[in-house]
Amino acid sequence: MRRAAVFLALAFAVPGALVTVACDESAAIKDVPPDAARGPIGTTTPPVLNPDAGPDAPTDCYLNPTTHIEIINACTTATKIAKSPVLVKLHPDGGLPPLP
Amino acid sequence: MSLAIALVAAFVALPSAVRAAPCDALAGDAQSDAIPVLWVENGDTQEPLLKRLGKKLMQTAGAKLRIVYRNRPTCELADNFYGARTLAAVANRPIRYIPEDAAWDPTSAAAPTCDAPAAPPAVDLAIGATFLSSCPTLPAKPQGIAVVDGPNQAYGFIVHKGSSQIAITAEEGYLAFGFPGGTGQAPPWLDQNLRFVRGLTASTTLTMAAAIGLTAAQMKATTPSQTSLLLLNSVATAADAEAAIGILGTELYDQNRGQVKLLAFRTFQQRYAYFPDSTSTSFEKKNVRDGHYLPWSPTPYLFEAGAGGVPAKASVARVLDLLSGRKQEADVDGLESVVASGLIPQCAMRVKRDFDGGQLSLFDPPEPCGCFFDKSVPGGATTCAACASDAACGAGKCRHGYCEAK
Repeated sequence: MRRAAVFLALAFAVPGALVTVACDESAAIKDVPPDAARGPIGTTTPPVLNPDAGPDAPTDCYLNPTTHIEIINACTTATKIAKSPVLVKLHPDGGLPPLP
Repeated sequence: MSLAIALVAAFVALPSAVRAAPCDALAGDAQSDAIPVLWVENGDTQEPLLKRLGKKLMQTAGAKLRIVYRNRPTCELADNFYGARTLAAVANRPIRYIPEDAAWDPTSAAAPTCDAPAAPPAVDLAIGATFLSSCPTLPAKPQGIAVVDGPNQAYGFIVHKGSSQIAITAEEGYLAFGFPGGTGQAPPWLDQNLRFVRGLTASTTLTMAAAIGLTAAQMKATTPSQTSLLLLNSVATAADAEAAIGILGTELYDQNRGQVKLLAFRTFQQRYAYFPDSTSTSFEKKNVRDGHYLPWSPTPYLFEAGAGGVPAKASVARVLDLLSGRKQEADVDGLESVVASGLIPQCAMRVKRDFDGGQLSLFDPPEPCGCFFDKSVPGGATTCAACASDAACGAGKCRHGYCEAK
């Protein structure tokens, strides 16, 4: 699952916490600063998610998903909305805190 | 149907001192008692489907069948079906029937109510709206009872039309609903009195809680809404547009898109948030069907099974065959009723799961109907070729008027 791990690392390191891709309601999205506790910011080298698909393969989705992680992050033409809110209760690694 | 009209209809139909005709003697309500009855209990998210199909079964030139039904939370109706299995009176849960009036519009008019018979009839079919494994106190399934997956039901978080929010992450949901008051610090959903849920045994609460890593009992919200329609109204009329949030079946949202907004949802370990549909304005449930939108579950159909696990009662078998698309009558297309009601037939799905909040795996339906589904939703379109027989489909198969791959 190395690909998924790399992918998820990028998911939490996308510069600018909110990026809208093909979003039809982008005007309603607020620009929120990234949560520094989530991980490194400013990753410039995209991961290779589809290593067998050639240099033009997409870098933020899976072309031929088979596992759960790949299915939910499969390439799609649907509207997608990037959102990384500041949630101070989350653990530094992004994990959920226990319920009170 | 406007929300206001629907709410008025719902309130008018609530039980009152005025007696209605007994459900097994509807002649007193100018109805024929000669028409066979199918007694049903169902989640309220499944009512639009029962009304649509019920109208067709009542108006068919073939064998007429009257659906008499009661909305009830999934775990309660399953518990009843595993136990007493009768349609006895339940406080604030009216029983309704499909009328014979050809002018009755199932999309805009409430079904008339009737009184529970003095000798309560057996429930023939129970239709839940989430995995029964999510019901914490449900006893083991008795022998002789079968449970099969009906169409899939999607759910979502709804907010006030004036809210600036367009998406919610699973982490935000966990912190907003899992902590009392605003102590989860997941703005703007910090006011517990403005977080609206259904009861602990309702499918909407069970499935949505699982989607954010909680159980229904862990949801910190205001007093649960008695019905989905009342919950919708609470969010739509909330004084603080930004802080209000609720949970709702998407079939009800689809009928009331002008009243509230449904948020795109990003599940755990997912990069982007998605709407149930490919855009916020379409209806084809693309993201539910291909695994990008996670809050959904199948609708379990419970019935008494005969030999081989098939329904013991012919009218139950007929309804199941119609709704699954396995059979189509000359003037009753059950699959059309499923799609028109905002549900997703299994034959249009590309993924599956085994329990609420469970991981997805790929699914290849044995008799696909994705082309028909894409074409049949409001504003729908398909690139599949129309067909009248397999001959037009080459190596493919003609299903519900369109060439499918198999």
